[in-house]
Amino acid sequence: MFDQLAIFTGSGQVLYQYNCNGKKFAEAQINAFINQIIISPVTAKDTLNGKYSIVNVTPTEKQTPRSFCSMFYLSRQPELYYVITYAEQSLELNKEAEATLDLALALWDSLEIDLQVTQNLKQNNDILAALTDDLMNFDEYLRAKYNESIKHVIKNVSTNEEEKTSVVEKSNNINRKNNKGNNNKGGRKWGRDGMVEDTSNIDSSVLDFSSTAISSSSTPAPASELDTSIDKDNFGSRTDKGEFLIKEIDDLLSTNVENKKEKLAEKDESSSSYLNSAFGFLQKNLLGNKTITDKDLKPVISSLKKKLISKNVAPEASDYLTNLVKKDLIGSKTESWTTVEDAARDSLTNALTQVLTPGVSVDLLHEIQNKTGTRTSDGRKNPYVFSVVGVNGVGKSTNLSKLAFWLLQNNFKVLIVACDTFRSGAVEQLRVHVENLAQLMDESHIRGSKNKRGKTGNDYVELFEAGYGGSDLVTKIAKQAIKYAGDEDFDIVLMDTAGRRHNDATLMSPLKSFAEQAKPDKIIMVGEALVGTDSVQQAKNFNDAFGRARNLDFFIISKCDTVGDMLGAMVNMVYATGIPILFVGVGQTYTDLRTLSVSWAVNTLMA
Amino acid sequence: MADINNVVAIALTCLLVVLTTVAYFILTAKKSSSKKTKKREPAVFITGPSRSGKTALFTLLTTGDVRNTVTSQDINIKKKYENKVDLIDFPGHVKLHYKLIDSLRNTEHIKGLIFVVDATIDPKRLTDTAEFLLDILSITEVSKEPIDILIACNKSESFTARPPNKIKEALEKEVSMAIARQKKSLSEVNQKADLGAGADDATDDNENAGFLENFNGDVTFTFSMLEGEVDASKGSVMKKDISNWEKWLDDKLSA
Repeated sequence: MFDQLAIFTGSGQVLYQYNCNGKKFAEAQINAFINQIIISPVTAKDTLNGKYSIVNVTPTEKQTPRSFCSMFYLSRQPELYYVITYAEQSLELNKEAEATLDLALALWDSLEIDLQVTQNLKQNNDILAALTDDLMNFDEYLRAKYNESIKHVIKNVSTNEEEKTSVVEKSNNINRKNNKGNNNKGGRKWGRDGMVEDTSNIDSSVLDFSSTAISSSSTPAPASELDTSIDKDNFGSRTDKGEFLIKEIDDLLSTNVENKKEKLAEKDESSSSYLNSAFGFLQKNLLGNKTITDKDLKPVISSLKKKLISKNVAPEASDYLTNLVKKDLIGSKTESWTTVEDAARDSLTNALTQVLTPGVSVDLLHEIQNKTGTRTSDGRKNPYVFSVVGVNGVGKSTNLSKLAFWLLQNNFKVLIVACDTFRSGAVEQLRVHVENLAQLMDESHIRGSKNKRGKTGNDYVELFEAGYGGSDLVTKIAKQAIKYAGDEDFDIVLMDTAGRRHNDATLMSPLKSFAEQAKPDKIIMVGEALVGTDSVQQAKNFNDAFGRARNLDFFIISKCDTVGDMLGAMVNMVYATGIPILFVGVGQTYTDLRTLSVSWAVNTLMA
Repeated sequence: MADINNVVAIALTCLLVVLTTVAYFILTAKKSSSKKTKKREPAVFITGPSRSGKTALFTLLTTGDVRNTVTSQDINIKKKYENKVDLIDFPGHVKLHYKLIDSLRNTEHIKGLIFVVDATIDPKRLTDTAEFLLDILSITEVSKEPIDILIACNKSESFTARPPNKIKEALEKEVSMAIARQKKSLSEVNQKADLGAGADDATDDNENAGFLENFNGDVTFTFSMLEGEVDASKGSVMKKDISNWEKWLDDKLSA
């Protein structure tokens, strides 16, 4: 059983809602789904046949008490979301959700609700005007049909499973001589970075061609056949009315398919006259008021894509962005005196703005004040802990010191922790930074002198160091440093970590335990603007390195002064993870840290 | 005869030349002025943080029904509401605020702005709301006509709901704290100053600065300092109890 089915518009109007468990419809669940779609749309993965997308929603804050899975279909013209939520991804539930979505879409089509909705939108009416009857029919039909088909599907899946296992056993016996236990292994897939990707949900039977002939005959009925393939004998005990209803629905569904085909044919005929195309040219390039088609957009889209790539945006990110433009524009009408190209540029500007805008408001000063304002039960300070991660040489220590300088100017006491126990000279480098910062805060500070606690630095800023060693030492230093900061009344702890290659699992794995042990309030990834296409993978890998429960909090993009207008790396990193950029580094000195201005970045990219 | 032919030919050529130049100028003028033109239709905006009941209020105003809604990703628009203005409901999600900000900049006559707030929310947790309000104010306050704002304290049917004046006070406090923080935070990147690249379209972001400049030092922010009037009144979409807000709206529409 799935949880809920909802059909709603992009603007938040719910057209249809159904809770499968007979409970009150819980909008919170749907809201959590929408939240995820807004913040990181890339987490949506297409189903095997590519018709629907699946999103795993993980619990965030208190909005979602538990994680769930949702499958959705997005129709354009009118823009409607068809969403099904269910507890977890499993073969059975996925199949059921898919079948139910198929059913809902077919019913929706055959009742021609879309037409009424479009009309309502066009005429500036209430979106639900004149729909009550249709929606009631839809509800009744859907429930009736669902009650039939769910049994059908589940039965089908379970019998299918049995058959499959028997087939597998047979083929196992045959293959055993050649490759032992081949079927017990999951499928394996190699990602772009050369690492084996998560194998748990890849069904190896897809690759097992030895039994296709047998299993294809036993695959559960695809939903289009669903209505016809229900064995009437199964309803032996049904009441007359129930049977009648099912039959009525089936009739409705089958007539609709023919209707649709006719309509499509009509459309093709009407759109091919010569006069139309000549006028269309004028509309496209001068007059505006043109309904945009796929054909009009193609050249525009490819030129926009080229432009994005020339600004260092990764191909996959630019594909994603231009697809947004396509979805936004196809079927819509350009305003008068607007060319298709202008419309596409505007749409791309919006898409870029939406990608780069942070999904959560990050107000560091507020959060720091909140945390450091409270004390632990034994009267010690609660320091606010940052840790900085990133690939080698991107400027982790430099940006850490810039951040420290800004915090110092806001009258916070800062403890800088040398958690890079690996690269020789890393601690010494930080010591220089601390000396510099101490001197900037207090001119009388003498370089190389120790403060009253016998450490490098002065009252405002201090270095916490413990030499060099293995990865165990890192977590040990981190924990000690946080305790020390609490004892000595520091507001901020800044932890520098060793740079690591993002595709080296042995280097990345210590990050997880580090995050679990040190529990930093903010994990910052420093990425350089110079990096190019690899930034997608870097951001993804670092974001995944902290396990399921923890993500990066934000990015600092360094070296922005070296790339001119090629700011693509910013787009790549945010696109890949949905995590916001907070600061950008624009120079060598301590004051060269800025907050990101989205409009500036978008204008630069679109210029 | 040859003369007449000549004259006709010359006249035609002249005409052709004139026409092409005119066409050329129109086209180039259009290219350069492709910056957004301002929308002329008067409008009333509904906005506020997520899950405060904006879309529900919009539906109640436009249809008279109370309906379930989910998080909006796009605007709801009712053209010619009461035959006077466009009523527009903006999504409250942080990532979609740019839609509101764009519209605030590009609409010439904003008759009023309804800022819906969930009255049951703990005043201490109004920080995000206040920051959002500050973003809005920094645009409305520099616009030519002062824009009036209604703080609509929704969900008054709940027993944990706080009275409108308490919410207004809390918002004032949070806004002044937000202003103080904004002054302390790092400045935004700016093409000319930071990167030395001579881009001619210097971003017009700094037009907000004028508003914040008035609040330096220890001056605490109050809504009475603003040019636009800010009212707060309670109501409940769920109980269809929105007479306070309708009255405010009527005032603005008839003004």
